[in-house]
Amino acid sequence: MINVQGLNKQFDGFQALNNLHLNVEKGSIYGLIGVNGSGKTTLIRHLTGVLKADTGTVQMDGQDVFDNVAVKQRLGYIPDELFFFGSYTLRAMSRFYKGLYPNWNEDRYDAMVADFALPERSRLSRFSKGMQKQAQFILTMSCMPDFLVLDEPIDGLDPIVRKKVWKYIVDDVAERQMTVLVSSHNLKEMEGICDSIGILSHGEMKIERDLDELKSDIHKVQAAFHNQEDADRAFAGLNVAHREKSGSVEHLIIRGAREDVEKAVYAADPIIFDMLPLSLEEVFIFEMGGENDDIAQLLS
Amino acid sequence: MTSRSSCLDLTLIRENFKRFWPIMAGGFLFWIVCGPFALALGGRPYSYSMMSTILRHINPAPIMLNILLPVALAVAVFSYLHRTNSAGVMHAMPYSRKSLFVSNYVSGLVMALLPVLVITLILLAMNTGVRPEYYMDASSVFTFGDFARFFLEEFTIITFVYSISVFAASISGLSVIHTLTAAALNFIVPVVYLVLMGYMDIFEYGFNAGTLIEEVALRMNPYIRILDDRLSAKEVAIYLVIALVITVLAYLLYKARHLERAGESYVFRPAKYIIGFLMVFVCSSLTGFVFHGQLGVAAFIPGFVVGYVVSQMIVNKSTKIFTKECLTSGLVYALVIAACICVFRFDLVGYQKRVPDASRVKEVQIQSNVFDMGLDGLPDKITDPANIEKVTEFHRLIVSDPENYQNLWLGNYTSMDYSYDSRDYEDPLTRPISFNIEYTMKNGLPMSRNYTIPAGMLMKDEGMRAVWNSAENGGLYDLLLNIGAVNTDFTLEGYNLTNASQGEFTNWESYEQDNMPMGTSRLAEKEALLKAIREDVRTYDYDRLFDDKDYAPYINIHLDCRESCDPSAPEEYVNGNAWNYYDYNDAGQPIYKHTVLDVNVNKSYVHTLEVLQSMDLSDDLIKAVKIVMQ
Repeated sequence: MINVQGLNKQFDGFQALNNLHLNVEKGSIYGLIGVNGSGKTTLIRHLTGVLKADTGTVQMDGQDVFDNVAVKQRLGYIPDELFFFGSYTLRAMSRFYKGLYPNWNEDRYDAMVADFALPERSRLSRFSKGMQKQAQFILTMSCMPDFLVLDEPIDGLDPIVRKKVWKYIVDDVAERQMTVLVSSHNLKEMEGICDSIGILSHGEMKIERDLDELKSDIHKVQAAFHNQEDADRAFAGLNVAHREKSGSVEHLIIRGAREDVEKAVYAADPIIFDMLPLSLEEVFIFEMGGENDDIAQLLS
Repeated sequence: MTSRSSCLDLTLIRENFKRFWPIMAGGFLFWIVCGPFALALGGRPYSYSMMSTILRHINPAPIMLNILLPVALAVAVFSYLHRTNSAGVMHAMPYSRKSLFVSNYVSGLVMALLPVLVITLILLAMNTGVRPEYYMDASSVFTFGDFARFFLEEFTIITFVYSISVFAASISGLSVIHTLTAAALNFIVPVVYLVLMGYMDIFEYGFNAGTLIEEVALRMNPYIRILDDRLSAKEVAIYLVIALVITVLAYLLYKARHLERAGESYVFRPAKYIIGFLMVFVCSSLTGFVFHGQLGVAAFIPGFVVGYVVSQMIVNKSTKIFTKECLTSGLVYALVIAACICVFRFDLVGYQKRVPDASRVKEVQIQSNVFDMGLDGLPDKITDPANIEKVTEFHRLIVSDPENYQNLWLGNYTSMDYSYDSRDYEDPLTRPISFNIEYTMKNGLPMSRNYTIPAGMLMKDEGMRAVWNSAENGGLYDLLLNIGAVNTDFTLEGYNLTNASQGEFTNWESYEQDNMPMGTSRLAEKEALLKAIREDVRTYDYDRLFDDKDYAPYINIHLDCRESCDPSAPEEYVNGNAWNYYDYNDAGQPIYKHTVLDVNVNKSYVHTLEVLQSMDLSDDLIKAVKIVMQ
């Protein structure tokens, strides 16, 4: 598992990470989301041993990551900005990786090169951005990592390749209990693949929950009542996060168990009552305190 | 599979060789062209002198390579540090920072050394085809030790330059800054040293750079040192220890490096300020030294402004150099430089007033242009405690009122400027003369001062007069007594100032030489001349030192006395008014010792001039004798 405790990092007086805690269960996929500048890449660079924490611990399977060769041999990392040695081909890079990672799997490498149909003998610098990402993915997955950290892994990939990429990841999680942390702005795809989610804001972990739990705990409600008193009575005991009225129809975002919300609303005898779960994107927009227009759009 | 726990990662070293071999190959080809190829061009047998030139590092092209190749390789192997993506990816790989540093350091150093190692082996192989020049003994051959020494010196220089370049990699955040910093740091210590000496020269009355440049500045870097002389075993050891210390520092900084600052000029804030300050300091000092005579202390300002603008643009990687932070650092730089100027200008360390206690002085040497003419110098080394006491007393007199002697007599005259004409001074005793004192203390430490004082001050000093008249100063007359006319070459030459009588300063003009080689030819003339010189030297007195003879006509008599000597005797040299040189046999052993004296005969050499008049000299020289006697 991946465990971060009380992580702090300052850059020239700017608090990039603030007492951050994070837990990724073994054999699960963790989605790290947050607005630009929230500290995702900084966190990832701590998770991969690139940056040293000011205070706090970053551990994988109970071992510190920073300067720990044994942990990094089990860690795969695909950064947002890729780096290959100049003039190297995919084949040449694979030889370098093979010398570095003890779990390197040549069969998998060959299979993935064939699957992604990348030219092995062409210079990586001549690859398109998407092809370079695929090449990095092949190299990383051929190392058979126990921990995989991905920073915008599908950015620049076409839908077919994206599907392939997710399939490899999901298969390894299922078959080898690989632990994955992925950061992406593509929340729709994250919603389909992640087991748990962490929302980062201003260097702090705002929410860290199991995805299903997160989504089942917040609801989008539309309801109309005979009179205002009934409406007020219906929502009085609930955790209403946002409320607005359009004509006689109330639009609300309510936190809490679905059953509790239904029981309270039905007790006020609604004329109309509709309750829907929020998508991950909607939860994100709401939790990140989007503008009123964003939330209104979300409720419509 | 290489163990990742080792600090030396062969995989990474191999990859570095794969990626950067062209740099190494370029260096090797350069060496081939300058060394073995140039040697081979002349055909067999290969030129002994050319091989000697290579082995003694006299060829400037390979010396230039000794700094270019290590810097280029350090920049190449550590280039991953200077971009955010490469720094991130490399440090996320299964390496510790230690193994990354050590592996990259070693691979770059090996690539820098391999060309010179191969060249050494090629030269060693070619040595069988080298023949001594026609004038050399057949036993003159290069030994394995000569080649080993050549490689060891190259190894030392390359390791030193490379270590500093790696240190620059640890502190810089951009490859271009790394390159500039590596080049600058390789010279920064001697440059700062020379700048400080410049301050001393401008502000400290009595400062004598003397041999400090040669003995200290040139030794601060093996790359500079090799331009002057070969490296001794002790120097090799010292340079390698310094390189090791710098490497350890570079490693510690690498470990503490803030990778998130890749892309900035410098990744450590103190480095940014220190480098910025050094740039401003050197720039302001340069204009200060050049224009101090015209502008005084204000001469430091133009250089400061230029240095500030350039340094702030570089260290901040921005043209916005008038921000609060930049201006604050500029203010601090200005204060530090002003403090530095004050330390020297007001002699806060007491340099100007310092005179050693005579009881702690082992010996002292004095040189002055008053003593330079003729056989009228002081002994090479004054060791008599009574004489040392008198010299220190006179030294105290000079430093008692430096402002007076520096300004009253000499205006803006500095020790760097000797271009004066004594005829500008109506009273010859007011003319400025140089007065150089070099103490050797009993603890072995040297102390040297160089003053410009009025001639009358030295003439009227009873202590210095007593030193001159002391028994310790009889050596030169004794030396003349030991010279025989038969085994001495006499060379006579007249010197005069053209139009001197009109008071115009023009170039020296020499009159034709007359040589009287050693042997019995013209023996009577030579004996008479030698006897007259001895008589004039014996009767020379202190006051005659201060005749206005510097610009008076004189006849130079150059005496070169040859004596047999024991081949096993070590060489010895004397300074002052006489010096020695040796003739060697084919085995390189000295067989003749030459003692050389120059006597400048001015009109006070009455006996000598009388003999010269009676000699059978050339018409030109007879004319010169007449001019001297006028």
